[in-house]
Amino acid sequence: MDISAWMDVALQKAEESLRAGEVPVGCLFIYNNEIIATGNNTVNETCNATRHAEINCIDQVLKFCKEKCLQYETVFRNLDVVVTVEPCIMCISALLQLQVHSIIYGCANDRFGGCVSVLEVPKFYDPKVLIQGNVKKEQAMKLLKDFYKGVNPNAPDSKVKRKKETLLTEK
Amino acid sequence: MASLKSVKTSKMETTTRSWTAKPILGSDFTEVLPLHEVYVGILKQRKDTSAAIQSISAVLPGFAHLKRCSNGKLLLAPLRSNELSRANGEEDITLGEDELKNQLKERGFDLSLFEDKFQVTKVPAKAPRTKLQAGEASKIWPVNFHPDQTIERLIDGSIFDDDCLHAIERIMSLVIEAARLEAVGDVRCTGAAAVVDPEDGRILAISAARVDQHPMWHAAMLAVDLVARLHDGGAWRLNDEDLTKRRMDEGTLDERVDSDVETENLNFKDRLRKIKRKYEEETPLCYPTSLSSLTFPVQMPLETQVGRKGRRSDGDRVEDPQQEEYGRNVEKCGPYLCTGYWVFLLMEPCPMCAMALLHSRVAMIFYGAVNQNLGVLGSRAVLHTVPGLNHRYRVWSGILERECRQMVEEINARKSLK
Ligand SMILES: [Zn+2]
Ligand SMILES: [Zn+2]
Repeated sequence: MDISAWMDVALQKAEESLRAGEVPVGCLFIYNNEIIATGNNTVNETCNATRHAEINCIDQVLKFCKEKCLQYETVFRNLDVVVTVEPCIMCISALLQLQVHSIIYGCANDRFGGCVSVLEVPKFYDPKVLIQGNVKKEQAMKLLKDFYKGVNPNAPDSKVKRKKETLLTEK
Repeated sequence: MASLKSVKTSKMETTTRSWTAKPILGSDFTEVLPLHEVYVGILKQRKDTSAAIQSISAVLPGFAHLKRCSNGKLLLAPLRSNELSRANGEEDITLGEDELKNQLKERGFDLSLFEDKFQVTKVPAKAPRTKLQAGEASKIWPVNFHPDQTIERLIDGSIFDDDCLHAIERIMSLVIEAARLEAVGDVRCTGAAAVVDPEDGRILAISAARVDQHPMWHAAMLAVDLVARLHDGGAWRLNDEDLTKRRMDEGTLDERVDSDVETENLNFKDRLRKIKRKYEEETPLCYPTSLSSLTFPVQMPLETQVGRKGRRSDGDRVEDPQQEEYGRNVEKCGPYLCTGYWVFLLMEPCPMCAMALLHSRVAMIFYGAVNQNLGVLGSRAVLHTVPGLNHRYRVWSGILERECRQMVEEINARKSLK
């Protein structure tokens, strides 16, 4: 599959999250043309502000490697990250420290974006990792806007509100 | 890079300390103010000064950070278009003297007040933020400046009294010992971390980097998850059995599940009670657990002199209003993330750790050794002063600097021996 097709899958995940009243961010970790991790933000659940989707995916990959007896260093270096929103400064640093193969994202993250928006983190790291933004950014942005507007009729009010606060402060 | 001069001990003080706490401030507070060229009109008669100031302010407003008139010279306009138009992508246009004269005439300014020829001179292009900057700027042109007392106390170090500096030193010594005992980091980020509630000085969590076990187990990342665990959360399984320093008698107190208590309110109160008990009985949480064998310093409040940053408003405009709001809700809703806590780090954090602490809403970070490789609280960047971030903490470097630097060297050498 190509970038655009993977982003469609990520957007689908984001949409599912929106329907469930969660922050609509879709994140895929792809290894050997297969999704080996996909995650949500679990900040509220864990009382830990660092539990963004990307960090949760990293933990999933580590578990995957343990189960399959693979060296995680090698797996990360051959792994592509597809995420609907620009990773924050923390998450992009984590991904760059793991030297993933590439990072593809959709719309910009004006609050915490670590690729270009708030701080250009990649300039601190070597070797350089392939980073490409603005892939289907309109769709990703629309999901976020719908979330802010509270377009999801299924979600209980309190949950939507709480998640929105999470998005505002943590994502 | 962005650190200013050191903390001075108060005049009465005889204690000598090997280290000085250096605030890491944004370039706004540390830079030599840039200058730009401006036209000045020379007044023929000094008695016209106030009338000329009034008139020019009406037709050509600006220069709010400068006195409009000095020694019979009146500030008129910058030679080149200001930053604002440049930011909008406009051409850098130089204003001609005749053009300026025409503008003034058109707007009804009486040019006969001035000598025929305007002068060009350099003045500070932006407002000073500190006394030091104001002093330097006023050597060039008189400035309008009102010192921000909090900033000045940060810079001259009077924000911490001697007791507080002692307490900071004791906690940093503990962090050094934790690093000695357990830290395994890498060239990007290494060392140990402690999270402290400044209100009572309770050490909530202490951790040492273990990147040999998990690539994200930097000290700060572990410490944040330990605090999450105190709040009944946490994501990593950090040896559930014996995390705590004082082994408790298997929490028989009120571990029972209140099956008949259905309302969220009561559950919530229950949770608060549980968290409070955890704070009292389980802290400090340690990872690796061997850190519980360290000798912990006597608990003492840190905040009395510093005005309870992040919890109560002290009229300080650098403070994060959101954090204050959370602070006001702490009694009501229980602790939230690491809001208001102070974090002590052996070494300046990498971007992952620095941002993790920002997401966690800590109030202050103290570190010992600089991290020239990847530190973003002074070395490669000054993360907490980057515009746009919705939470900020204060950062101090240089705490037991020599000892911390030596420990960084020691743990790095240890790693390469293996
Ligand atoms: Zn993130
Ligand atoms: Zn780190």
